[in-house]
Amino acid sequence: MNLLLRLYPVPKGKIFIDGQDINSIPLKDLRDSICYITQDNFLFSTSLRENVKLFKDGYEDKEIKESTKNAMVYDDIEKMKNGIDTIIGEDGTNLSGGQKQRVVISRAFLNKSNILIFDDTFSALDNRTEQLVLNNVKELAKNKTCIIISNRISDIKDADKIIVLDGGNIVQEGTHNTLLKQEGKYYEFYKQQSAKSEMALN
Amino acid sequence: MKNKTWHRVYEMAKPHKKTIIIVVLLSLLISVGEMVKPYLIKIVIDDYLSMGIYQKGIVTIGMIGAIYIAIVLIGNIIDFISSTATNMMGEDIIYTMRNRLFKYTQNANIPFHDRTPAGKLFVRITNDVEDVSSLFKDVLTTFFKDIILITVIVVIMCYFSITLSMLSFIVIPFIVVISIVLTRILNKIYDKSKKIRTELNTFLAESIYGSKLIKIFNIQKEKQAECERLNNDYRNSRLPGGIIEGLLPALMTIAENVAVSIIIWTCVYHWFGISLEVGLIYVFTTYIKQLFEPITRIIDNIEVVQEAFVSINKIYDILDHKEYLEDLESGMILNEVKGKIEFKNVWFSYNNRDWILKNLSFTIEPGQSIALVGKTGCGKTTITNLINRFYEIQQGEILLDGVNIKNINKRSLRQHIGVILQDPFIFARTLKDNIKLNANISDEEIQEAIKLSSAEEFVSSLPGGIDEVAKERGISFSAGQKQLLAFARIFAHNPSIFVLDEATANIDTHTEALIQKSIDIISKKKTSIFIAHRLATIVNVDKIIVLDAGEIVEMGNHLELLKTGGYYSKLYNAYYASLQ
Repeated sequence: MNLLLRLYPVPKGKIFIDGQDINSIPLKDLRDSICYITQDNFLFSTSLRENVKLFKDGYEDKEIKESTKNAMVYDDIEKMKNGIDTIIGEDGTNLSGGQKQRVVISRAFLNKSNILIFDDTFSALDNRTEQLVLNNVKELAKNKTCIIISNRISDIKDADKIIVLDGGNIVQEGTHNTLLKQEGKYYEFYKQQSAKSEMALN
Repeated sequence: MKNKTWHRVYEMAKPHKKTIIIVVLLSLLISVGEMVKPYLIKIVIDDYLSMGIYQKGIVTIGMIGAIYIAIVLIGNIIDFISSTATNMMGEDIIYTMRNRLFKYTQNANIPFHDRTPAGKLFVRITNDVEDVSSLFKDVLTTFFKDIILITVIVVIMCYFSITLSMLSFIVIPFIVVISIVLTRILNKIYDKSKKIRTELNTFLAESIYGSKLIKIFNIQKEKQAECERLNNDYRNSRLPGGIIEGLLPALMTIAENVAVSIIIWTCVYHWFGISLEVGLIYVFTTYIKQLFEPITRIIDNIEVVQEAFVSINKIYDILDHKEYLEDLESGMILNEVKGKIEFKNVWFSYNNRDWILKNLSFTIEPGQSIALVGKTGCGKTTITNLINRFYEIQQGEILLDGVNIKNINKRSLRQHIGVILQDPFIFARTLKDNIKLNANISDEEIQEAIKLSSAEEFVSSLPGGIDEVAKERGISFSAGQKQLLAFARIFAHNPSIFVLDEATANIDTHTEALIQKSIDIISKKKTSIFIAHRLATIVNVDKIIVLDAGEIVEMGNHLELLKTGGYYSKLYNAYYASLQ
C-alpha cells in the first residue's frame, strides 16, 4: 500500500490506476484519489473535529457528524463534555485504543476519494462494533474500490476478491467460497480461526 | 512573582557560591585597576606635561607608563580567569537543570504525561535551559563587576568634585526610568514569545512524527500554513525586542553625551565656581565614559535577564509541581508475590467527572488466568493501568496478596507485574538491551528468554542477531516481531503477574501461533490477565469478566457464560456468525 501511494519510489510500468502508470499521475492527485486508513491510529493533539476532517475546510458539521456515526464513535464523542470540539490530551482526555481507531476510521466516511484502503483498522474493535462498522464500510464502498487488509476472516469474507500473500508472493486469489474449495492456504487459515471458535462452542 | 524568580535564581546559583565570591573579589581588583588608569594619566597631564617636565622626584613618566601597562596586563589576566570561571559555572548550571528536568519527566506520573505534550517538554529541557545559561555565563560576572565599577567610579568622582559629580548624575533618573519600563515590556514580550515557541515546537514534533499521515491525506499545504502561522507569530513576538535592542544604544549614547556636555559647559563657563583645569576635565569625561560602560551593559543585559527569568519561571512551573511526581521509594518492598489480586468497590475516573470504572469488584486467585472482555472504551486497559498504579483510584481498594497496593513500594510492585502493551515500545538500542532493559540479567538468561518466546528464528534472521540495533520506536520491525521481543522481555524478567493487552495490529498466523505458545507457557504458571480483543484467544482462561461501561455485567468461564445466554454469548455468537 505504501507503494500504491508512492510513499516509496515505484519502478515505471509496475503499478497502474485506471490503466495509467502511477508514476505519471501527479503525487497530489494520486494521494487525493486514495483514502488510506493506516493502522497506527495517529491523532494530532487538537480537537476531534480537526482530527476527523484533517484540517481541510469545506466540511459541514452535519457531514462530520454523519461520518462519526458511520464509524460508530458518535455516541462516545457525544458523551464527552465538549463533544466533537474536545481537544485530545487536554484535561486528561484519554481515548481508548478502540475509540482512537474509530475516530481514524471516520476520516474514510468524510473523504470523497474513490479508492479506500483499510489497513488492519478494525483490530481494536470488539466483534459487534466491528461488524457494524464493516456494514457501513460496505455501504460506503458500493461504488468505490475498497481494499481491506486483515488477518481476520470476518473482515474480508464478503470481499469480491481475496488475495492471499505469503512471504511477499501471491499464493491464492478468489472469493471466500472459491478459496475455501481450493483447500489451500486460505482454507487452512479459515480452519484455524473457526476451529478456535468451534472448539469453544462445544 | 519577581521575588519568587530571584529566589529561584538564588537556588540555582547556590551550589556555586564559592565561584561567585571569587569572581566578585576578582572584579573588585579589576575595578581598582580601571580606576587607577585615568588617575595615572591625570598625574602625567597635570604634574608632568603641563609643567613640561619628564621627571618629578624619582618618578619618571616612563615609570608611570610601565605601571599603566602592568595594570592593563594583570587586569586582562584576571578578566580571563573570571570569565572562564563563570562560563564553567554557566555550563554547570545548565547541566544540572537539564538533568533535573529529565529526572522530573521520568518520575512524573502518567496523568502528567497525558496532559503535557512531548514538544513542550522538549522545549523546556533544551531551549529554556539554554536561555537561562547566558544569565549565569554572561550577566552574572559582568553584573558584579559593573556594580563595583559603578560604586568605585562614583566614589572617586565625588572625591574629585562633588559638584561636578552631582551635575553628571542629572541623567541617572532618566536611565532608571528607562530600565524599569524596559524590564516590564521585555518580560511581557518574552513571556508571550516563549509561549508561542512552545506551541511551535509541539506542532513541529507532532508533524514530523505524523509525516506519513500528512502525506497520505495530502495535508502538507494545511500543515505548512499552520507552520507559517505559528512561525510568523513567533517572529512577530520577537520583533519588539529587536526594536528595543536597536533603540537602546542610541538612548544611552545620548544620555552619556548630555552628561559630558554638562561637565564641559560647567568648566568652560566657570559655573558653580568651577575653574577650568584640563586634567580635571579629562578625568571627569573619562570617568563618565567609564561610568556609562557598565550602566549600558547592565541595561543591555535587562533583555538577557528577562529572557532568562521567563524561562526560569517556565522551568520551575514544571519542577514545582511535585504532586505529579511518583513516590518510588517509600512503601512495602515485596520479596515474593503469590499473585492474588482483588478489586474491592473500585471507582475510577481520569478527570474526576466521567466515571470509567463504577464500583468494580472481582478477585483473581494466585495462578489463575482471567480475561477482560467488553466493548472498546469499557475500561479494560484502564484496569491494568490501575494495577500498576499508573493512576490512583478515587474510591475502593486494590489488593495484591491481601495488601493494599497503595502501601506497596511502586518500584517493587511494578517489578512483579509484567505488562505487554498493544504496541510494545522498542528503544533505538540493541535487541539485547531492549530485552534486558538495564536489569541485571545474564546473557545466558537472555538467550533462554529468546528461546522460550520463540523469537529465536526472528532474531537469528537479523544480520546483527541479538546485537542488531533497532530503529527508533522499532519501526523496522513488524507488529508481530515487536510482540515476540516483548514476550522475550517477560521471560527474561520473570514477573509474578502477567498482563497482556492483546495486540490489535495485524499479526500473521505463524507469529500468532508462536505468541500463543508463549501465552500458554506463562499463563500456566502465573497469575495472568488478558485484555482480549479477539474472543478466540480467551476461551481457555479460568475466568472471563465481561465489562460494559465500567461495570461487570457477567463473570464466569467460557462455557458457563455461553450457557447463560447473556452479553458474552451474544458477543461470541456475533463473532462466530461473522466467520460463516
